[in-house]
Amino acid sequence: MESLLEQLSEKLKREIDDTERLAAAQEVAEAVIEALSNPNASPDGIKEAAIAALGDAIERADSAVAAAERRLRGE
Amino acid sequence: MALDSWVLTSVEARGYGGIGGNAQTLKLDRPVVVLVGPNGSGKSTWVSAIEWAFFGELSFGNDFSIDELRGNRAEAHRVYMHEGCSETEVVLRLRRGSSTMVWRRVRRRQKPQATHDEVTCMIDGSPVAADPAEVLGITPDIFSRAIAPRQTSLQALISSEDKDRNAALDQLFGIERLNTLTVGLSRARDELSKRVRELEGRFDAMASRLREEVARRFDRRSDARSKGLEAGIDAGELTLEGARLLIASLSRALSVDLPTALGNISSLQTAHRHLRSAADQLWSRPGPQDRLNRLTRFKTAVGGARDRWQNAIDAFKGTSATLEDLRVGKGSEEVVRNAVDEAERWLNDIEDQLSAASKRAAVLAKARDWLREHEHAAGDELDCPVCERPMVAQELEHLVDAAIEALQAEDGEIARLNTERQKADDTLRETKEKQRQLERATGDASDAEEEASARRKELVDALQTALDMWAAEMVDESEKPIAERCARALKAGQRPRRRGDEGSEDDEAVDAELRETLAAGENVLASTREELAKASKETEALRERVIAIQRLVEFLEAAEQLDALDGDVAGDDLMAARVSLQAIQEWKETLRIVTSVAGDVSVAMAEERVGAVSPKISDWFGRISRHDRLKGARVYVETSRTGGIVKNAYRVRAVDPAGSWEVAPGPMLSGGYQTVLTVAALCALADVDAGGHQLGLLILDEPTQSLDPEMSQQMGNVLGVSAPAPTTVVTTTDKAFADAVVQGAGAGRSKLVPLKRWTAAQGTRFEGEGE
Repeated sequence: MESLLEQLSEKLKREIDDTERLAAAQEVAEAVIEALSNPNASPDGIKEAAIAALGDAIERADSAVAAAERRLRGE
Repeated sequence: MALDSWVLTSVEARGYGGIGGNAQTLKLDRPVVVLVGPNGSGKSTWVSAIEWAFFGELSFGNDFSIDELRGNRAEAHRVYMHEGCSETEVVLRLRRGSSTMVWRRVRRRQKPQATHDEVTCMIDGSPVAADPAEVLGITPDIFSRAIAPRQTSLQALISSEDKDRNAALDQLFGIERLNTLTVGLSRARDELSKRVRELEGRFDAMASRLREEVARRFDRRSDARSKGLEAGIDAGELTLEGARLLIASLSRALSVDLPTALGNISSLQTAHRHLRSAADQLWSRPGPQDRLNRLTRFKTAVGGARDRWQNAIDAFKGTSATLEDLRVGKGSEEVVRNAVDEAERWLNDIEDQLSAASKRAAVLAKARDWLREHEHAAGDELDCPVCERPMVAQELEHLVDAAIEALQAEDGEIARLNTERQKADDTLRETKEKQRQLERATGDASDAEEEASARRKELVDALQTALDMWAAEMVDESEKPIAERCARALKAGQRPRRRGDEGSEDDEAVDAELRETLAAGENVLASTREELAKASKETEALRERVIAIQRLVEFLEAAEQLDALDGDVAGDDLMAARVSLQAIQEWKETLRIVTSVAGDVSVAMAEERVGAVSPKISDWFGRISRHDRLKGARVYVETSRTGGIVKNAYRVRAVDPAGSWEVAPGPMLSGGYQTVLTVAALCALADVDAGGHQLGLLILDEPTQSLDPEMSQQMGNVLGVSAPAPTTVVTTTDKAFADAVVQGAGAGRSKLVPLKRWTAAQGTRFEGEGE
């Protein structure tokens, strides 16, 4: 797994110039490789790890939209 | 093979499957152990005991599930237990360097489900979590396919190249995790795209609704403003401060203490509710309206009764006057009655006289007729029929004629008497007519008197009802004098009465009291009407002010809601959602790059992985194969990119030494060589630790299927010479194959474990001491 992560990191450095985006990509790579080290790792587990690495951006957007929807409904 | 693998050194079992209740131990103290025995002797039972100890049940792939036996009830889980044993126990002992592991599973007949098993794992005497995946990196799938593959799995290992191949087989080649990684990342990207689409859809829909809602609320505010102006509010008062002033003013007018400070719309609404309630109470409070109603009822009931009474009295007086006039003009009833009697007597007397005269006339006529009918000589005397004296007949005849003349002549007695009778008859009729007139007038007067009496009682009842009404309802001060007058009138009206009192001075006094009472009531009624009109105007004015406040509060609420949309929804929520969506889009792009990179890396690593395995398979295949041309094997990776998902698949082929002839498992490769290719692949994978687990064990259960004796012996020899795993267990019914394995491995590195034929009485048994 360490080898896989190293290779991923190296290739990501070559592919991404933007520092901030590279850090984000590295964060995703670390999260999914950690999930992959689980003996029962599954594609859905990797998916969840990658989505989780996004942080709460989805929840924030969802909450903001939901809050606006609620306000529109007058709740 | 990795140095850190655990090596299984012994299997101790009792009460498991065909193994009886006495504990037996299979020592795996050599790198190669061959279990040999007839069919049904228990070889597979021993190797399956290892899998059962780790997982609590055996994996039969898609061919069999224990749940199919009898649902998931207890009895189904007792199939592993030896009949007659109350519990089953398997103990595995493993070694890694100087460390030892003892894995133990016990199942009791009373609670035979795997979840109730007692499972322990001790490493160097210390307990650790008994999780095969955690401790050894093995799962039921990995075990049944990489460590102890069954016959069907052996075939599938090389022949299944279709898209639905089992992931556990991919894991054997070390590419399963790479596929898991790329598939998982692709799913994450798809999931993210889906979520983003969904969020953007909601965002767009909400933005659209927001525009509509803003327009709606704007219209509502405009409408509320118009209504406020219509309610009399100045445009400058359409503010929170304006509402406070209006509410304060009205609360003073209504003497209402407001419970809350007027700080926001909600408090204004609360204040408005209180004021509206107070105005409603004022409107419904008993006052002029009730008094008006009572006085109207009094006027209608008592005034009406009094009018009817007075009319009855007038009627009575009229009939009494008529009667009196008749009495004066025609005499009293007694006088008239006497006159009638006198007239009757007179008439009777005349009638008697007339009758007597008529009789006489008849007698005389009869006498005259007799005289005329009998011849009489002159001078004959006859007895006068009247005086009975003797008379000359002629004289007598003259006398009779004269008498008849006196009676029947025009001025005779009978005519006179008839005239007299007519007079008497007229007199009697006239007096009787007077009598009837008197009787009729007397009856009319009596009826009128009764009517006046009844109306009087009605009046008394009306007075009593009015007094009861005032007694029952709240009486205004202005009504009290009327009620008192009413009571006096009632008292006067209830005084004892005699016949002929109707219309008397006493009645006039009562009526005078009544007139004054009704006049007083009319006065109060008029003043009440004025008072009510005034109160209605005041109440209406208050209500208008309440409505004005309501309109103002509605306007402020509409304005606040419009502002909230502009501020909270459009300003804060939408902006926050837009920023978050942009962040997710950024992440989506990042994830796309990571997925692409991971795909590339996984391809490279898969190629590297199978590249390491491929020479090993070729080596094993070459050593076992007795084929004239197919002396080697090759494994390579095929990469597919479907829908952005990078997936690697291995391909196994038998090849000639030059690599120019490549044969895929299938019709072009015999069953025996497919078995050789399979065993070669398993041995190579065990050799390079491709399974990714830490259990140094390979079990080849009857690996000589479809092999001819020479090939079988060749395979046995090769397996013995090059044991592929730290511990390799081979089961076979082929004694020659078993001997070849042991011969290839040498006595020091291998041992033969023969099993006796299984019997119901003794179960599975080893031959020889200690086994």
